Amino acid sequence: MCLAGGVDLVPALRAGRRVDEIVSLGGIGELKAIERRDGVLRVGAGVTYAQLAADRAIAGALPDLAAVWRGVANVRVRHAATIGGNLMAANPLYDMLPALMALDATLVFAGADGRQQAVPASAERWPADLLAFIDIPPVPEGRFRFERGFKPVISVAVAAAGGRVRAAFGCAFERPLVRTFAPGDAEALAAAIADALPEPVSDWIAGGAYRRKLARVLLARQLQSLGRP
Amino acid sequence: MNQPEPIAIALTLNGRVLRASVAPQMLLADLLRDQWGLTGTKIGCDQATCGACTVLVDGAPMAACATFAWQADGAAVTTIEGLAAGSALDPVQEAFKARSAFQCGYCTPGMILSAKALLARNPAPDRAAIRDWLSANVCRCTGYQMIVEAVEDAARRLREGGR
Repeated sequence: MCLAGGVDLVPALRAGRRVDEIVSLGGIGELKAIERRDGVLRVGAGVTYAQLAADRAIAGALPDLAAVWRGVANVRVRHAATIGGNLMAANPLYDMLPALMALDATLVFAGADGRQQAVPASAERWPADLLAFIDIPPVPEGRFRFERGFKPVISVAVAAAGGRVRAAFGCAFERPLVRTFAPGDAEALAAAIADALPEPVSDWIAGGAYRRKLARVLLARQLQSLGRP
Repeated sequence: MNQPEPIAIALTLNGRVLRASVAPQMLLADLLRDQWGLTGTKIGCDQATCGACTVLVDGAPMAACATFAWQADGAAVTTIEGLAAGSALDPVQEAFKARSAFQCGYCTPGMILSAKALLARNPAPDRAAIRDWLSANVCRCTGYQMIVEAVEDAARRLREGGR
Protein backbone atom coordinates (compact mmCIF):
# COMPACT_ATOMS: atom_id res chain seq x y z
CA MET A 1 0.00 0.00 0.00
CA CYS A 2 1.36 3.41 -0.98
CA LEU A 3 1.04 6.43 1.26
CA ALA A 4 1.44 9.99 0.00
CA GLY A 5 -0.44 12.65 1.99
CA GLY A 6 -2.20 10.04 4.11
CA VAL A 7 -5.47 11.98 4.15
CA ASP A 8 -7.47 8.85 3.31
CA LEU A 9 -5.16 6.07 4.38
CA VAL A 10 -4.26 7.19 7.91
CA PRO A 11 -7.90 7.48 9.08
CA ALA A 12 -8.68 4.15 7.36
CA LEU A 13 -5.81 2.46 9.20
CA ARG A 14 -6.94 4.02 12.46
CA ALA A 15 -10.44 2.71 11.79
CA GLY A 16 -9.11 -0.84 11.62
CA ARG A 17 -8.01 -1.40 8.04
CA ARG A 18 -5.04 -3.75 8.02
CA VAL A 19 -2.17 -3.68 5.53
CA ASP A 20 1.03 -5.72 5.48
CA GLU A 21 3.25 -2.93 4.24
CA ILE A 22 3.17 0.79 3.71
CA VAL A 23 5.48 2.38 1.17
CA SER A 24 5.91 6.10 1.70
CA LEU A 25 6.02 8.11 -1.52
CA GLY A 26 6.93 11.31 0.32
CA GLY A 27 10.61 11.24 -0.68
CA ILE A 28 10.10 10.94 -4.45
CA GLY A 29 10.73 14.43 -5.82
CA GLU A 30 9.72 13.52 -9.40
CA LEU A 31 6.16 12.92 -8.21
CA LYS A 32 5.95 16.46 -6.84
CA ALA A 33 6.96 18.29 -10.01
CA ILE A 34 4.79 20.28 -12.39
CA GLU A 35 6.16 20.89 -15.88
CA ARG A 36 4.94 21.88 -19.30
CA ARG A 37 6.06 19.62 -22.14
CA ASP A 38 4.81 19.70 -25.73
CA GLY A 39 2.01 22.04 -24.73
CA VAL A 40 0.67 19.59 -22.15
CA LEU A 41 0.89 20.12 -18.42
CA ARG A 42 2.54 17.16 -16.67
CA VAL A 43 1.53 17.14 -13.02
CA GLY A 44 3.19 14.69 -10.64
CA ALA A 45 0.81 12.45 -8.73
CA GLY A 46 2.40 13.66 -5.48
CA VAL A 47 1.55 17.31 -6.11
CA THR A 48 -0.55 18.64 -3.24
CA TYR A 49 -3.77 20.59 -3.63
CA ALA A 50 -2.01 23.68 -2.25
CA GLN A 51 0.72 23.31 -4.89
CA LEU A 52 -1.87 22.88 -7.63
CA ALA A 53 -3.75 25.98 -6.50
CA ALA A 54 -0.63 28.18 -6.28
CA ASP A 55 1.57 26.94 -9.13
CA ARG A 56 2.29 29.50 -11.87
CA ALA A 57 2.35 26.99 -14.72
CA ILE A 58 -1.07 25.70 -13.67
CA ALA A 59 -2.41 29.22 -13.20
CA GLY A 60 -1.29 30.03 -16.76
CA ALA A 61 -2.51 26.89 -18.49
CA LEU A 62 -5.51 25.92 -16.35
CA PRO A 63 -6.62 29.05 -14.48
CA ASP A 64 -10.12 27.76 -13.72
CA LEU A 65 -8.81 24.50 -12.26
CA ALA A 66 -6.42 26.41 -10.00
CA ALA A 67 -9.25 28.68 -8.86
CA VAL A 68 -11.50 25.72 -8.03
CA TRP A 69 -8.75 23.94 -6.14
CA ARG A 70 -8.14 26.95 -3.89
CA GLY A 71 -11.50 26.17 -2.25
CA VAL A 72 -11.34 22.37 -2.00
CA ALA A 73 -11.49 20.87 1.52
CA ASN A 74 -9.63 22.89 4.18
CA VAL A 75 -6.16 24.32 4.37
CA ARG A 76 -4.62 21.39 6.28
CA VAL A 77 -6.02 18.91 3.77
CA ARG A 78 -4.83 21.11 0.90
CA HIS A 79 -1.27 21.01 2.23
CA ALA A 80 -1.21 17.24 2.72
CA ALA A 81 -3.56 15.72 0.16
CA THR A 82 -2.18 14.84 -3.26
CA ILE A 83 -3.78 14.65 -6.67
CA GLY A 84 -2.75 11.02 -6.99
CA GLY A 85 -4.27 10.24 -3.62
CA ASN A 86 -7.53 11.90 -4.61
CA LEU A 87 -7.70 9.68 -7.71
CA MET A 88 -6.51 6.41 -6.19
CA ALA A 89 -8.82 6.71 -3.18
CA ALA A 90 -11.58 5.97 -5.74
CA ASN A 91 -14.09 7.81 -3.60
CA PRO A 92 -17.05 8.72 -5.84
CA LEU A 93 -17.52 11.96 -3.89
CA TYR A 94 -14.03 13.22 -4.69
CA ASP A 95 -13.46 15.95 -7.23
CA MET A 96 -10.28 15.25 -9.16
CA LEU A 97 -11.59 12.50 -11.42
CA PRO A 98 -14.62 14.39 -12.79
CA ALA A 99 -12.38 17.45 -13.29
CA LEU A 100 -9.77 15.40 -15.17
CA MET A 101 -12.41 13.57 -17.21
CA ALA A 102 -13.82 16.91 -18.38
CA LEU A 103 -10.31 18.18 -19.11
CA ASP A 104 -9.55 15.03 -21.15
CA ALA A 105 -6.49 14.25 -19.04
CA THR A 106 -4.28 11.19 -19.35
CA LEU A 107 -3.00 9.18 -16.40
CA VAL A 108 0.53 7.78 -16.64
CA PHE A 109 1.25 4.71 -14.53
CA ALA A 110 4.75 3.41 -13.80
CA GLY A 111 5.36 -0.31 -13.52
CA ALA A 112 7.97 -2.01 -11.34
CA ASP A 113 9.91 -2.90 -14.53
CA GLY A 114 10.23 0.80 -15.44
CA ARG A 115 7.56 0.64 -18.14
CA GLN A 116 5.05 3.47 -18.31
CA GLN A 117 1.47 3.00 -19.38
CA ALA A 118 -0.85 5.88 -20.26
CA VAL A 119 -4.64 5.63 -20.11
CA PRO A 120 -7.34 8.29 -20.42
CA ALA A 121 -8.68 9.43 -17.03
CA SER A 122 -12.08 8.33 -18.30
CA ALA A 123 -10.93 4.73 -18.91
CA GLU A 124 -12.97 2.15 -17.04
CA ARG A 125 -9.91 0.23 -15.89
CA TRP A 126 -6.55 1.58 -14.86
CA PRO A 127 -3.26 -0.37 -14.72
CA ALA A 128 -2.49 -1.84 -11.29
CA ASP A 129 0.78 0.14 -11.16
CA LEU A 130 1.92 3.32 -9.44
CA LEU A 131 0.18 6.46 -10.69
CA ALA A 132 3.12 8.74 -11.52
CA PHE A 133 1.89 11.65 -13.65
CA ILE A 134 -1.24 13.28 -14.91
CA ASP A 135 -1.01 14.93 -18.34
CA ILE A 136 -3.56 17.70 -18.77
CA PRO A 137 -4.06 19.63 -22.01
CA PRO A 138 -4.32 23.36 -21.30
CA VAL A 139 -7.77 24.98 -21.30
CA PRO A 140 -7.96 28.78 -21.59
CA GLU A 141 -9.61 30.88 -18.91
CA GLY A 142 -13.38 30.69 -18.93
CA ARG A 143 -13.50 27.35 -20.74
CA PHE A 144 -13.62 25.09 -17.68
CA ARG A 145 -16.35 25.19 -15.06
CA PHE A 146 -16.79 22.99 -12.02
CA GLU A 147 -19.96 23.23 -9.94
CA ARG A 148 -19.28 21.68 -6.52
CA GLY A 149 -21.91 23.56 -4.55
CA PHE A 150 -24.43 20.70 -4.60
CA LYS A 151 -22.07 18.03 -3.25
CA PRO A 152 -22.60 15.35 -2.10
CA VAL A 153 -25.70 15.16 -4.32
CA ILE A 154 -23.89 15.83 -7.59
CA SER A 155 -20.95 17.73 -9.06
CA VAL A 156 -20.65 18.80 -12.69
CA ALA A 157 -17.40 19.65 -14.47
CA VAL A 158 -17.50 21.05 -18.00
CA ALA A 159 -14.63 21.90 -20.36
CA ALA A 160 -14.74 23.23 -23.90
CA ALA A 161 -11.73 22.75 -26.18
CA GLY A 162 -11.09 21.97 -29.83
CA GLY A 163 -14.73 22.47 -30.84
CA ARG A 164 -15.97 19.81 -28.40
CA VAL A 165 -17.49 20.01 -24.96
CA ARG A 166 -16.84 17.43 -22.26
CA ALA A 167 -19.15 17.22 -19.24
CA ALA A 168 -18.36 14.99 -16.27
CA PHE A 169 -20.72 14.12 -13.44
CA GLY A 170 -19.40 13.28 -9.98
CA CYS A 171 -21.11 12.01 -6.79
CA ALA A 172 -24.16 10.73 -8.70
CA PHE A 173 -22.78 7.37 -9.85
CA GLU A 174 -20.50 4.71 -8.43
CA ARG A 175 -17.80 6.22 -10.60
CA PRO A 176 -17.87 9.62 -12.33
CA LEU A 177 -19.19 9.63 -15.93
CA VAL A 178 -18.17 11.84 -18.83
CA ARG A 179 -20.06 12.76 -22.00
CA THR A 180 -18.55 14.45 -25.07
CA PHE A 181 -20.64 16.47 -27.51
CA ALA A 182 -20.61 19.38 -29.95
CA PRO A 183 -21.58 22.81 -28.62
CA GLY A 184 -25.16 23.96 -29.19
CA ASP A 185 -28.25 25.18 -27.40
CA ALA A 186 -27.49 24.83 -23.68
CA GLU A 187 -30.98 23.88 -22.49
CA ALA A 188 -31.62 21.36 -25.24
CA LEU A 189 -28.19 19.76 -24.91
CA ALA A 190 -28.43 19.53 -21.13
CA ALA A 191 -31.88 17.94 -21.31
CA ALA A 192 -30.80 15.38 -23.90
CA ILE A 193 -27.62 14.45 -22.04
CA ALA A 194 -29.22 14.26 -18.59
CA ASP A 195 -32.10 12.11 -19.93
CA ALA A 196 -29.64 9.68 -21.49
CA LEU A 197 -27.51 9.21 -18.35
CA PRO A 198 -27.79 5.84 -16.62
CA GLU A 199 -29.85 5.68 -13.43
CA PRO A 200 -28.07 7.82 -10.79
CA VAL A 201 -27.48 6.53 -7.28
CA SER A 202 -30.44 6.72 -4.89
CA ASP A 203 -29.39 6.93 -1.27
CA TRP A 204 -30.17 8.80 1.95
CA ILE A 205 -28.60 11.93 0.48
CA ALA A 206 -30.83 12.20 -2.58
CA GLY A 207 -33.00 10.14 -4.92
CA GLY A 208 -31.87 9.25 -8.44
CA ALA A 209 -34.59 11.36 -10.08
CA TYR A 210 -33.46 14.44 -8.18
CA ARG A 211 -29.85 13.82 -9.15
CA ARG A 212 -30.83 13.49 -12.81
CA LYS A 213 -32.80 16.74 -12.62
CA LEU A 214 -29.83 18.54 -11.06
CA ALA A 215 -27.57 17.11 -13.77
CA ARG A 216 -29.76 18.83 -16.37
CA VAL A 217 -30.09 22.14 -14.49
CA LEU A 218 -26.43 22.45 -13.55
CA LEU A 219 -25.18 21.34 -16.96
CA ALA A 220 -27.39 23.94 -18.68
CA ARG A 221 -26.02 26.66 -16.38
CA GLN A 222 -22.45 25.57 -16.96
CA LEU A 223 -22.87 25.51 -20.73
CA GLN A 224 -24.38 29.00 -20.65
CA SER A 225 -21.54 30.33 -18.52
CA LEU A 226 -18.70 28.90 -20.62
CA GLY A 227 -16.71 31.76 -22.06
CA ARG A 228 -15.96 32.08 -25.76
CA PRO A 229 -12.61 30.69 -26.88
CA MET B 1 1.03 -11.14 12.02
CA ASN B 2 4.50 -10.28 13.24
CA GLN B 3 4.89 -7.30 15.49
CA PRO B 4 6.11 -4.46 13.26
CA GLU B 5 9.59 -3.22 14.03
CA PRO B 6 10.07 0.25 15.48
CA ILE B 7 11.36 2.97 13.17
CA ALA B 8 14.24 5.27 14.14
CA ILE B 9 13.43 8.88 13.35
CA ALA B 10 15.10 12.26 13.88
CA LEU B 11 13.29 15.55 13.63
CA THR B 12 13.83 19.15 14.58
CA LEU B 13 11.23 19.97 17.20
CA ASN B 14 10.90 23.64 18.04
CA GLY B 15 14.50 24.15 16.94
CA ARG B 16 16.04 21.16 18.75
CA VAL B 17 17.04 17.94 17.04
CA LEU B 18 15.35 15.01 18.74
CA ARG B 19 15.55 11.30 18.03
CA ALA B 20 13.00 8.64 18.76
CA SER B 21 12.22 5.04 18.08
CA VAL B 22 8.57 4.84 17.17
CA ALA B 23 6.12 2.08 16.38
CA PRO B 24 4.95 2.36 12.75
CA GLN B 25 1.41 3.07 13.88
CA MET B 26 2.36 5.74 16.43
CA LEU B 27 0.79 9.09 15.66
CA LEU B 28 2.68 12.35 15.75
CA ALA B 29 0.20 13.67 18.32
CA ASP B 30 0.97 10.75 20.65
CA LEU B 31 4.71 11.15 20.21
CA LEU B 32 4.47 14.83 21.11
CA ARG B 33 2.06 14.46 23.99
CA ASP B 34 2.80 11.10 25.56
CA GLN B 35 6.48 10.59 24.84
CA TRP B 36 7.73 14.16 24.93
CA GLY B 37 5.15 15.68 27.27
CA LEU B 38 4.19 18.53 24.94
CA THR B 39 0.49 18.61 25.77
CA GLY B 40 -0.12 21.97 24.11
CA THR B 41 -1.04 19.95 21.02
CA LYS B 42 -4.65 19.11 21.83
CA ILE B 43 -6.69 16.13 20.71
CA GLY B 44 -10.21 17.27 19.92
CA CYS B 45 -12.12 15.17 17.40
CA ASP B 46 -9.21 12.76 16.83
CA GLN B 47 -10.40 12.56 13.21
CA ALA B 48 -8.35 15.30 11.49
CA THR B 49 -11.34 17.60 11.35
CA CYS B 50 -11.40 20.02 14.31
CA GLY B 51 -7.87 21.42 14.01
CA ALA B 52 -7.04 21.35 17.74
CA CYS B 53 -4.02 19.12 17.01
CA THR B 54 -2.63 21.40 14.27
CA VAL B 55 1.17 21.56 14.26
CA LEU B 56 3.51 22.95 11.63
CA VAL B 57 5.53 20.41 9.68
CA ASP B 58 8.11 22.21 7.55
CA GLY B 59 5.89 25.25 7.92
CA ALA B 60 2.69 23.58 6.70
CA PRO B 61 -0.27 23.10 9.04
CA MET B 62 -0.92 19.42 9.64
CA ALA B 63 -3.25 17.39 11.81
CA ALA B 64 -0.96 15.60 14.26
CA CYS B 65 -3.77 13.12 15.02
CA ALA B 66 -3.73 11.93 11.41
CA THR B 67 0.00 11.95 10.79
CA PHE B 68 2.24 9.02 11.65
CA ALA B 69 5.24 10.00 13.74
CA TRP B 70 7.57 8.52 11.11
CA GLN B 71 6.13 10.88 8.50
CA ALA B 72 7.84 13.73 10.38
CA ASP B 73 11.25 12.08 10.06
CA GLY B 74 13.72 14.70 8.85
CA ALA B 75 11.18 17.51 9.14
CA ALA B 76 11.07 20.67 11.23
CA VAL B 77 8.07 20.47 13.55
CA THR B 78 6.71 23.46 15.42
CA THR B 79 4.26 23.10 18.28
CA ILE B 80 2.68 25.82 20.39
CA GLU B 81 5.46 25.32 22.96
CA GLY B 82 7.98 26.50 20.37
CA LEU B 83 6.60 29.98 19.79
CA ALA B 84 7.43 32.01 22.88
CA ALA B 85 11.05 32.97 23.52
CA GLY B 86 11.29 32.57 27.28
CA SER B 87 8.64 34.86 28.73
CA ALA B 88 8.32 36.87 25.50
CA LEU B 89 5.27 35.73 23.62
CA ASP B 90 5.18 35.41 19.86
CA PRO B 91 3.37 38.36 18.18
CA VAL B 92 0.49 36.06 17.21
CA GLN B 93 0.16 34.94 20.83
CA GLU B 94 0.30 38.60 21.95
CA ALA B 95 -2.46 39.48 19.50
CA PHE B 96 -4.68 36.63 20.71
CA LYS B 97 -4.12 37.80 24.29
CA ALA B 98 -4.77 41.46 23.47
CA ARG B 99 -7.97 40.64 21.57
CA SER B 100 -9.27 38.08 24.09
CA ALA B 101 -9.45 35.64 21.21
CA PHE B 102 -10.09 32.60 23.37
CA GLN B 103 -12.38 31.40 26.10
CA CYS B 104 -11.77 27.81 27.11
CA GLY B 105 -8.53 27.84 25.12
CA TYR B 106 -8.68 24.28 23.85
CA CYS B 107 -8.65 25.29 20.18
CA THR B 108 -6.14 28.11 20.70
CA PRO B 109 -2.84 26.28 20.02
CA GLY B 110 -4.19 25.02 16.70
CA MET B 111 -5.67 28.41 15.87
CA ILE B 112 -2.39 30.19 16.59
CA LEU B 113 -0.31 27.72 14.57
CA SER B 114 -2.72 27.95 11.62
CA ALA B 115 -2.46 31.74 11.87
CA LYS B 116 1.36 31.50 11.94
CA ALA B 117 1.32 29.41 8.76
CA LEU B 118 -1.08 31.82 7.06
CA LEU B 119 0.95 34.90 7.98
CA ALA B 120 4.17 33.26 6.82
CA ARG B 121 2.60 32.89 3.37
CA ASN B 122 0.54 36.05 3.29
CA PRO B 123 1.67 38.91 5.57
CA ALA B 124 -1.46 40.98 4.85
CA PRO B 125 -4.36 38.55 4.51
CA ASP B 126 -7.85 39.94 3.96
CA ARG B 127 -10.78 38.70 6.02
CA ALA B 128 -11.77 36.17 3.37
CA ALA B 129 -8.31 34.60 3.50
CA ILE B 130 -8.30 34.55 7.31
CA ARG B 131 -11.74 32.94 7.40
CA ASP B 132 -10.72 30.42 4.76
CA TRP B 133 -7.67 29.35 6.78
CA LEU B 134 -9.40 29.34 10.15
CA SER B 135 -12.36 27.39 8.77
CA ALA B 136 -10.06 24.39 9.31
CA ASN B 137 -10.08 25.08 13.08
CA VAL B 138 -13.22 24.64 15.14
CA CYS B 139 -13.94 26.89 18.14
CA ARG B 140 -17.04 26.14 20.16
CA CYS B 141 -16.82 29.20 22.43
CA THR B 142 -16.01 32.47 20.76
CA GLY B 143 -17.94 32.73 17.52
CA TYR B 144 -14.65 33.46 15.71
CA GLN B 145 -15.03 37.25 15.46
CA MET B 146 -12.30 38.01 17.98
CA ILE B 147 -10.07 35.31 16.53
CA VAL B 148 -10.31 36.89 13.07
CA GLU B 149 -9.55 40.29 14.62
CA ALA B 150 -6.59 38.79 16.47
CA VAL B 151 -5.11 37.45 13.24
CA GLU B 152 -5.51 40.88 11.64
CA ASP B 153 -3.84 42.40 14.69
CA ALA B 154 -1.04 39.81 14.52
CA ALA B 155 -0.47 40.62 10.86
CA ARG B 156 -0.07 44.29 11.78
CA ARG B 157 2.31 43.46 14.64
CA LEU B 158 4.44 41.28 12.36
CA ARG B 159 4.54 43.91 9.62
CA GLU B 160 5.56 46.52 12.17
CA GLY B 161 8.64 44.56 13.09
CA GLY B 162 7.62 41.74 15.38
CA ARG B 163 9.58 38.58 14.82
